[in-house]
Amino acid sequence: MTKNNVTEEIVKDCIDGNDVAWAILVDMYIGVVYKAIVLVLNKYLDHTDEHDVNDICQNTFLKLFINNCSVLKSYDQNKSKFSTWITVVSRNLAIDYIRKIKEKNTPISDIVDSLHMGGVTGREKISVPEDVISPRQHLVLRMIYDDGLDVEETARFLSVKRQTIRSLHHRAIKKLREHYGLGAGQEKSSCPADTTQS
Amino acid sequence: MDGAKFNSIGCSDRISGNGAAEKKKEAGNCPDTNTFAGYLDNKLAPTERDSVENHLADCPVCRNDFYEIRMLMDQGAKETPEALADSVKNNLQTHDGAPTPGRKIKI
Repeated sequence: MTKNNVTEEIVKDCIDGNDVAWAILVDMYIGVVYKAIVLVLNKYLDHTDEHDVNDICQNTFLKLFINNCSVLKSYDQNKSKFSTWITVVSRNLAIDYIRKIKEKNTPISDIVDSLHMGGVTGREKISVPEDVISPRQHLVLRMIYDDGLDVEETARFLSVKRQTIRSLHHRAIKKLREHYGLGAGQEKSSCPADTTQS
Repeated sequence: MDGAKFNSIGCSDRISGNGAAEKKKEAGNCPDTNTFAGYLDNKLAPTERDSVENHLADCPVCRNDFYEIRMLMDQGAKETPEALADSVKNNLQTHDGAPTPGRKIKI
């Protein structure tokens, strides 16, 4: 039996109100939850208080448990591993917590600005016409040109090989050149973020 | 890439999985928690994956969330304080009674 299958059974038992299953679930995933919360607080706060980390850990498991386990029931085992899902949930709770702290201490105009800033780094975003390139090609262009990632980082985030990123980039640029009537690109389009390309 | 280039701290639509937030996410097309986790695990069907990547290409805040969670997942385990698991279990057991379905607890 794989860990995923075991987790599925435990989640079912938790939803049925089995105390032992809850204890097992906590033992299995407290490390994942703790790691996510500590890393998020370390990143966004100048000072991380162990008491805050504990509170958010407690709230994460309570969140799964309260309201007739509605959040736990929402977990779709066909879509992701439980460890990934609970990482996303824990991180979201940590972000909510930080947002509340920042909202207390920040002028409202700054909060509105930050919510609208997103990943824009001060440069004008490139404009990409719809339906000319694939969603993945579009995403790769955003990651490289808007977010400043290099090929290695882009490949790592998307869990693909560097050559795949180079290829996606090349095909996207070729299609865009064709779309704008610039020719199919007589020369191979080199990726500006590719530090390993010869 | 350490995410420091981004000023936002998380998609305003993706809030810890409560019902209202889930509805808001659907309205704003930001992937819900299951879909986001499924994308990270590379377990989505191709059409759903395309839909997420379309969204990520247009939503820098969700993209930042994606980078950050991916980096979280890549980090090695952290030593968890021994007492924490017991404390969480005790809290669940004593929080308004045994952990059985049907109870409503406000946090």
